[in-house]
Amino acid sequence: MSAAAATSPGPMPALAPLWRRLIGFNLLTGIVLGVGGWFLGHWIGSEIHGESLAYFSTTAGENDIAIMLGYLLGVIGFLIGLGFAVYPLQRLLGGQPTLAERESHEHGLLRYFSLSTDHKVVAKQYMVGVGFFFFIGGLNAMAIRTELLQPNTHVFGANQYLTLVGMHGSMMMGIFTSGVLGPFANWLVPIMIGSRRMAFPRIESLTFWLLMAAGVVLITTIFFGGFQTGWTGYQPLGDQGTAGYDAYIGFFALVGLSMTLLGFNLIVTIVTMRAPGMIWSRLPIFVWSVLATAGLMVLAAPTLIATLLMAAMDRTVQTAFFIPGQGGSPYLFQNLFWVFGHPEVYVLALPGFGIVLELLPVFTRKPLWGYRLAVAGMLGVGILSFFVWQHHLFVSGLNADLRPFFSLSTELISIPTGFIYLCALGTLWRGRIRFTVPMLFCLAWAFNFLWGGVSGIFLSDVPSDVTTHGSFFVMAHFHYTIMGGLIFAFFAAIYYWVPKMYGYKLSERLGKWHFWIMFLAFNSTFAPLFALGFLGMPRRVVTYATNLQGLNDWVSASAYVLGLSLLLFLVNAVWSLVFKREPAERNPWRSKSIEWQLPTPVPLHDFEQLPVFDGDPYPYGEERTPLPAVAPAGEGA
Amino acid sequence: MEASAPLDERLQAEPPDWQPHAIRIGGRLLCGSITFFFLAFLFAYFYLLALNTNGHFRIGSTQPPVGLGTPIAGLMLIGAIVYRLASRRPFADVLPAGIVALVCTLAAVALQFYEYTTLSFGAASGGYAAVFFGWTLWYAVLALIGAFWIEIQVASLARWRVGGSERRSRREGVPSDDDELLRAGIEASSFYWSYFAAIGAIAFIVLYLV
Repeated sequence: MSAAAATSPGPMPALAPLWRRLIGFNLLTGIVLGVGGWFLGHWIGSEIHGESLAYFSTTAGENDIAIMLGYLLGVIGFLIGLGFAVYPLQRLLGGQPTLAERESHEHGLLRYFSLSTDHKVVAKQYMVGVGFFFFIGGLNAMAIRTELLQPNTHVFGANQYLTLVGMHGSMMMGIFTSGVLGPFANWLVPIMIGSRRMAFPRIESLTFWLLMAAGVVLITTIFFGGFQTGWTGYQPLGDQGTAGYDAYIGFFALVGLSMTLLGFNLIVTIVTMRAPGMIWSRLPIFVWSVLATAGLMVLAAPTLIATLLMAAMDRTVQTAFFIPGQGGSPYLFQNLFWVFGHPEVYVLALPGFGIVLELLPVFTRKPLWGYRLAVAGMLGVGILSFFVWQHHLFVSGLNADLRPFFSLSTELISIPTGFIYLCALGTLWRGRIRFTVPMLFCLAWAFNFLWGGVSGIFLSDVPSDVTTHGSFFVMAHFHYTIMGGLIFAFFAAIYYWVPKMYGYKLSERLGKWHFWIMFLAFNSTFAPLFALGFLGMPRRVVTYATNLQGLNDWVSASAYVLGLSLLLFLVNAVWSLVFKREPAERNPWRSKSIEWQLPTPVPLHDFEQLPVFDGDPYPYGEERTPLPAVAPAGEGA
Repeated sequence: MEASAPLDERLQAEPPDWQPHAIRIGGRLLCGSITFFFLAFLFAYFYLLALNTNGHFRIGSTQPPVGLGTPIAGLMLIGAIVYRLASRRPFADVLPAGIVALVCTLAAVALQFYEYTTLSFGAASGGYAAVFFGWTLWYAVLALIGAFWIEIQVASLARWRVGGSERRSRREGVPSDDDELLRAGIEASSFYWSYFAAIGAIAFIVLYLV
């Protein structure tokens, strides 16, 4: 990569007074208009609601049309308040296309509470927003484990327990679809490919605020009786559910829309906005993982949206997509949900692979082993993930002749996944490993994901799946793959990139404490679930056999420690980034990738002149490896 | 301000072909997304038809009027074909084609909602009725959203017709990427619109003729 000349940044435009900015387009206005929109929608729905439409509700007096319209207009009002209608209306009236960026007018904390077109600001918004809902989802998990301390004595009761399970699963599976891509892809992809921005910066911001609106919609389920379906929202429970299920529909529909737009934006950015010399074979492996993930998001999420719209129509205008008595079928929902749901698993897993493969060369001082193999693996996983969905329905009574195909396709997917794992191991082999906190999390990923992957073979195989289906074995499996695979990689990314993103060091000592407690508690929590599953403990049931209490209590105690480890991380983040604020070095990891060649914090417009890439992305261990020189631009962001 | 120009004049401008290229690729990508969106309804149709639970795939007479379905699909196709054919022609020719596409779309959506009031069956009349209402309703909603995109092109073309020559003279020979952006927007929206109309044609075949 070659350098460019630097010039001093220009002066920033004068700011409007604070009061003027507070009554403009920002979060405050968004909340006001969102609440107003909710009441308006609810009122309209109440006006058009007929008696016959109460047919589908089990609770008298519920009005699903009013609630759905309330959510719809509430979200629209929220987005209008944030300023998302301004530019489309300008264009509608013939205004010129422009990328005039809001960050040039807005500074300080306020820019985090409004529509921002700076990819670094949006990334930080994602970091905090996703973190907040991760925290809520974690609290739900603690409540679940508290309920399971006793086999028959209840803290919450059956319905509340199921709602907790559903909220925990939905929050984690829904919000965390953007857990890596939101903060890290938005921040890193433009820089890594040598662009200053995403292709559609307003859409980038829209994806974040849609996700936040989704999270709030899901939480409102507690005011309407919750939902008892788990995160999968299965029918006919959904159609029969209280109005709390409307919140589930609204939540996942918004998540689906956010996912689609995020994936869309990322693909277009990567395909069209690569700087000179950034040919496909030089693309950082993290960007490849983002590309594969974005492909899944763009294609799979619309299926989810369509499915939820069908469910919404069943509950409001009396269609019968999922009602067998009227010519529908609950299995239709199951099929369509998993057409989305299984790619969704890889939407969560692939960015984790990308992070680990991106970090391993830095901490082993070796080039990434099998770069092309890893790329093939990621693309292979992405493509195959569309052909495995019926393994979730092996026990649903589907035609037995279909089982071998889906069993085979599921087992086939372990081949490209194995490529990726092999590349990780190949990079570790004979490397000069530095056991930093990010590296520890990467190594933990390798351990956890192995167990997750191996246990997956049991679930792809029909005979063993029939035995373990719907049990805690399945829970153990997907927590090992998703939490062990994604969350550990997520923390690796946090410890690795946050100093560059925020400009402050995180405490290494607290980070190591966090890692070891989390790693041990994670395995102590989820490994026993394999045993519980084999012993017959079913998912989503509030009671269990008394002979399983010992193991359950062990798991609950471990889960509390796991929760404490995450609090330790929170303490570290707040202490390091808010109170201590020790400036981070420019390149503390001695990385050779482009983001680490920029100053810390990264300037407003990233580069003054676009970089030119002319070498391998992982030139570690080579004798002459000139670091990329880039000219920064503007003030620190 | 051109889309590819930097905010700060001291910064190197990004390549002028980036944003037009992004718009074109974006149009193609949207086609992928709506394919999977409507595949869900197509899947639902054949799944429920195959199951025919309790013999209730069709409850009673559930044949929608072909006399209304034909103009709905036809208007969408005509608008899309006219707009697509004009998209490579000079801007002056695209403007009327865009207006035709817009009018056809709005007429098709209006006809669709009129059709709902004339049907002999309701949303609860079996699996077929569910798919019919679901597919056509969301097709109409997405048609309105698509019409918004076309309207932006039409408005931009109108602006171009009024101020294009003035803008060019103001720049005194400096190449402007405004026209290239406009061309990309027209190309992408017309491609997307052709694809969208083709989905409408498939919907017509499945829901009215099969």
